[in-house]
Amino acid sequence: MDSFSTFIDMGGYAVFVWSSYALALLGLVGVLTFTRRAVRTRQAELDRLRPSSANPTSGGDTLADQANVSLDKGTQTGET
Amino acid sequence: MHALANPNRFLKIAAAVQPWAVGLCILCFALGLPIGLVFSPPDYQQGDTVRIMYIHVPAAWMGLFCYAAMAIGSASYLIWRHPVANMLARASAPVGAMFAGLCLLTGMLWGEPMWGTPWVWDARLTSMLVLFFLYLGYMALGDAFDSPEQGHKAAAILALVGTVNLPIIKFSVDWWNTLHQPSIFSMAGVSVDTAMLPPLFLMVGAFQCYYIVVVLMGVRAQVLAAKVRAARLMQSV
Repeated sequence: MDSFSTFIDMGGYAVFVWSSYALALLGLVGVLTFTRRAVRTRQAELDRLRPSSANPTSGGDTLADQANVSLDKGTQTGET
Repeated sequence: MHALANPNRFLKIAAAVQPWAVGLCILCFALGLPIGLVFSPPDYQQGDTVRIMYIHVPAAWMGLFCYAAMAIGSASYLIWRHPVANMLARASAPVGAMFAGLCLLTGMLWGEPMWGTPWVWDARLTSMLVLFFLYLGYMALGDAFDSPEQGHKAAAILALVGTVNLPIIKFSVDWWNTLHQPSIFSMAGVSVDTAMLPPLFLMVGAFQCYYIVVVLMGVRAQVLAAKVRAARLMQSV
């Protein structure tokens, strides 16, 4: 236990060293959370708008093909 | 490169890469943190504050790396209209800003006990602060226009103009009299205890893998946003 408290003490610099690692954890978790939330809300919005074609990795089709999939007209605008 | 211009195809490749990046990231942290915090030696002058280096230096490296990725993506976007390149650039900004900010803050936490001051306006610290503001400016500018494409183009130009800051940061400790210590890697060799190199490289590896995980997720978010916009347009037709 004594060596553990020595470890935590970091030679008297505990507050500086542990604050640095805490900030790192905060930053890494923060950006990850922010990004995951962005994916989740946009996916939910897409599912709400187009419940049929909700998988973002389906096929090799282009964005334009995905956008045109809800058109049920006879002719479609030819986009590549 | 042109095969990757198709966003859906890029996302499929990204989905395959993602689990490996996550695994490698966890592994690098699992090795780097114990070695850095416990098994590596304290510095003969700086004592245990040297362990801040295992956060500060990798964060600094990533701050520069993410900006370079942003600049290359922006150039590809402006020159070739490569859509995924712009998404990679935009996705690199928040994570790059976070690393630049982390570098600055951990530097302050290291400077306070070792230099007696958390901050000086020397060349390296000042140019790193400028880089942090460039990140913020890039993110703000992209959203500042009514037309997203106009915003992205303006931001891309800002990213390219700001690229001059990268060699300034890198060589600041050579070109000017700075309080910040010189590079540990030089033509003369390595100026740090070799026992400190493994945790340093492991933490750089961990941060790099983390970047890959987050940037691919960020590109996915942008592709989804584009699909949402397209779907909304279809609905209003």
